[in-house]
Amino acid sequence: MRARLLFALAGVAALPSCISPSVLEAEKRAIESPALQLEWTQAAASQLEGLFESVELQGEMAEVVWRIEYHFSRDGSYSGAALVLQGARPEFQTLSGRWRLEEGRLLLDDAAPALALAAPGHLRIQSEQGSLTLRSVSLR
Amino acid sequence: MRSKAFLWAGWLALGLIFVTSAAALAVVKDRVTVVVSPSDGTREGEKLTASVSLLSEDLRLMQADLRALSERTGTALQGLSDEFDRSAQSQADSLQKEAVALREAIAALDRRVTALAGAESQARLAEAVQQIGAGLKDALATRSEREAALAKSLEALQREAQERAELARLDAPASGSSAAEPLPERGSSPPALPVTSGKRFLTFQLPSQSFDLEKAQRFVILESASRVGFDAKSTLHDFSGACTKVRGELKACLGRPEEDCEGEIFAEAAALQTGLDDRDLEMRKHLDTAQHPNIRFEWLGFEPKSIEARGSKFAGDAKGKLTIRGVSREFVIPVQVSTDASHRLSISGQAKVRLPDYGVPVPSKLGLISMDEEVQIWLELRARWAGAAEPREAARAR
Repeated sequence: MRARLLFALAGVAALPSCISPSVLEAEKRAIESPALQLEWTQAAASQLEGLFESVELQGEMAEVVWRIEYHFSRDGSYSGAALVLQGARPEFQTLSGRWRLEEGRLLLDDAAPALALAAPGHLRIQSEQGSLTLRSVSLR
Repeated sequence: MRSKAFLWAGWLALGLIFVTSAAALAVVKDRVTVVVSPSDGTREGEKLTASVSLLSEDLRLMQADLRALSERTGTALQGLSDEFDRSAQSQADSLQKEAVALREAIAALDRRVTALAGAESQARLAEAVQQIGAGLKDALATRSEREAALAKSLEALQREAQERAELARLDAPASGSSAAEPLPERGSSPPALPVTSGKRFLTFQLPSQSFDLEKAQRFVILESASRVGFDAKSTLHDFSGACTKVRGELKACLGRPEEDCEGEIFAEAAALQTGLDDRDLEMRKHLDTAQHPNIRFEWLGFEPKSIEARGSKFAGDAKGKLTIRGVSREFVIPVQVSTDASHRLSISGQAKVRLPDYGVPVPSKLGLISMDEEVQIWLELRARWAGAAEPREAARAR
């Protein structure tokens, strides 16, 4: 009987060493953008079709642009909306036009060509003003 | 001027003549000596008498000559003087006449110039009045056109605002309050149009914004990129709890963070996760999340400790009030603050909290597995710039 009790106590004492600690390291507390883990390749036109929403904005424009959404249609038309800081509050801008992809560069109307990269479920557009990472979203 | 010069020259000549005459008389007087002495003989006496007579005659002649000379000189001088006088008088008269004529000519010219000037200025004035009249007419026409254009713009803006308000009213949830702003009254100033920088990003117009380090700016916590949590120790094992449902807003002057720094950060208590569902359920009970859904930090001030790059990287103590389970206590948490090129804030910090201070029961299982009453809470916040902050007085008034 005494031997069993000692065994049980030993088991309880050894329990913490069996359960690994689940403390989050200080370096991992910050949320990393999932887009950082993706592998990017030159985008094909088929990868642009559909609805996208921004997940990351980097560069000069990110100071005032809060969010961007694009819908690219197969017929070459597109529509977009951007939440832009206008004075003291954000306001939406919308636009529509034509898009085409030439040698990995996206052309929206008369805007300068921008590098278009694709990753599973994601699209990245890089221009002089910054980099925009979008994720594909499904219509509900 | 010339007449005066002649007058003076005349008087000088007269003076010289008189002086010369006097000198000659003096010389002659000294040389003529009349000696009367007793005669020794008749012959000699006769000779002497004859000589004296001759001399006397000579003297008389000389005196007569001198008198005549004097008279002639006087006459000549008088004539000369008279001539000078006449000449001077005539010159003066002629000069006076010339002066009078000149004065009359000047007066006539003046009258003519005045008459001419009057006529010209009147003509010019009339022309100027005509031009001003034409200008005023044009200005009034332009003003009328502008007023008409402004009225049209104002009407269009009011229509647009009305449509937006209507749309907002239709889109707004039934329970929520309308976000639409009141319509501007007729006659009030139209809303300020956004100032654009001329730059575009993928054809969206980028407004012209300027981030001022020396003024308080607003920052909105990015929920998708922020996380708060705690590290706890227990006899069984150490663990962390974290929550990504973080929201809030900060106001900070990055150039002078000690002066104007405040805000509120909320973390949803029920969203804290430790990785074990049973433990999470237990934790929510201890935190009484049903009654106190939020853990709140009211940021009231900042005390800088070190500045690595002014306005973009610094560290210090964030001071304020921490509320857990409805209990508020003074709280200081050391934080590191940095900004990126887009003026997005990163705030990292950690501090220890005694759970009993906030009325949170310390979990314990059968007295064998117990948790430390002190936990380390931490925050990793990302905040986006949301424009310049209102001055404190205006915010209070609002």
